[in-house]
Amino acid sequence: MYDLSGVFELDALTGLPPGATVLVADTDGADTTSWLYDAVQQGLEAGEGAVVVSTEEPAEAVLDRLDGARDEPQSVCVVECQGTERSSRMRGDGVFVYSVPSPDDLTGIGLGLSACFDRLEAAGYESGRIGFVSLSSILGATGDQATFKFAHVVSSRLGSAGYLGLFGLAQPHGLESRRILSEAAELTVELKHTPTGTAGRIWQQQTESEWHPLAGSKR
Amino acid sequence: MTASDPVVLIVEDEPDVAETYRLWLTDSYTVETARNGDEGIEKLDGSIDVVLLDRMMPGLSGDEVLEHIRREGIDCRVAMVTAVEPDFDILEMGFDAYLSKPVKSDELEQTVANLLERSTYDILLQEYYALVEKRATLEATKNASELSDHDEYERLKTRLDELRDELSDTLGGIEDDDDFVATLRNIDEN
Repeated sequence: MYDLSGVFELDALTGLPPGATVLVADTDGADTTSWLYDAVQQGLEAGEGAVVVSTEEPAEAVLDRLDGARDEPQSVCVVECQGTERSSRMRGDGVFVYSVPSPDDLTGIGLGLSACFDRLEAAGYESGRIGFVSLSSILGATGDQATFKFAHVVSSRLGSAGYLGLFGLAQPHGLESRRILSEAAELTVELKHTPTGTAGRIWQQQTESEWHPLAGSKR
Repeated sequence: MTASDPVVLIVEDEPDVAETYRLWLTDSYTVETARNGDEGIEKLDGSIDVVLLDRMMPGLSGDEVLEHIRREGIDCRVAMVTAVEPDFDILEMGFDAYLSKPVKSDELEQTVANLLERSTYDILLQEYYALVEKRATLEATKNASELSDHDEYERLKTRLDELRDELSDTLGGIEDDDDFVATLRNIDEN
């Protein structure tokens, strides 16, 4: 079971089964990226593996955000959208990186994820968190339909691998896109700004919970 | 075979081998054969569901025929038949499955069945998206009480429940990396 309630203090996020996927979406420009990295980081601290699919930043910037990568480099793999062709490399510190030329290369991202799953498995990790930072770039590059199908197929693959999936969705995106992509995940955490910090609520099966202040919202 | 059976095109330059494949498949599928890559391309139209493509042929090679299929966006699944175990990453190559010679009958039947199942998955996924999009539009334009009286909305929800089940039954819901990458490739191509 995976527990995200240490990051988002929302009851629905305890005891998530292996293979569950969570969409973390902002509703008004609240920062989703640092929350997503916190969730991945917490998994690393608990001895889980991690894959980050980074559509904007190169692997180096991803690893700067994750402390766990320094201690156990084989626990982290990165799929980055950089360069002009699909390629893979092993960094000097032992972190595996797969590069695809752009966020609309969904096949390439899939190849990268498959390679990363092989690495984690070979290193003995039976559980792991797969963070997509973020779906917004894929949405911008390919539209609602391809992004929905991508998220659905990835969720299905994570289901059989037993990993936890975390899809970040930042602005700009419309409410309809958010509701469409919610269907591809088990549940959605929506974030918004308040005068005292970030608040979160759960959207699941076409029903939303009340907003709750999130204590980690020093951001 | 009947007219509604899926159509398999065998592209193979050795007549005995092509005939063997044809006999194995003919009970369940409509089978067509082509003796080389050029003839294969001539016979490739919208009716073909699965292509069994010999990699090494005189004239156009299997790789070149595959390139043609992808470039022209011909909607079919391709299993490459190779003389030796491929030493390349088959996922990178752009075909959907491969078979090493000598091909056994159960292996061939299993591969064709799996490729057809992938096509079924793609069709279900397309319907699933169309309904999810329709639901999102209704939810954005109507309030909760309007939705509760809305027959189409209720029908949508019922069909979505069914589709979720059908998708998780098909391909065991994407269990392996071949199915995973092939399904993503199909999204990229459409």
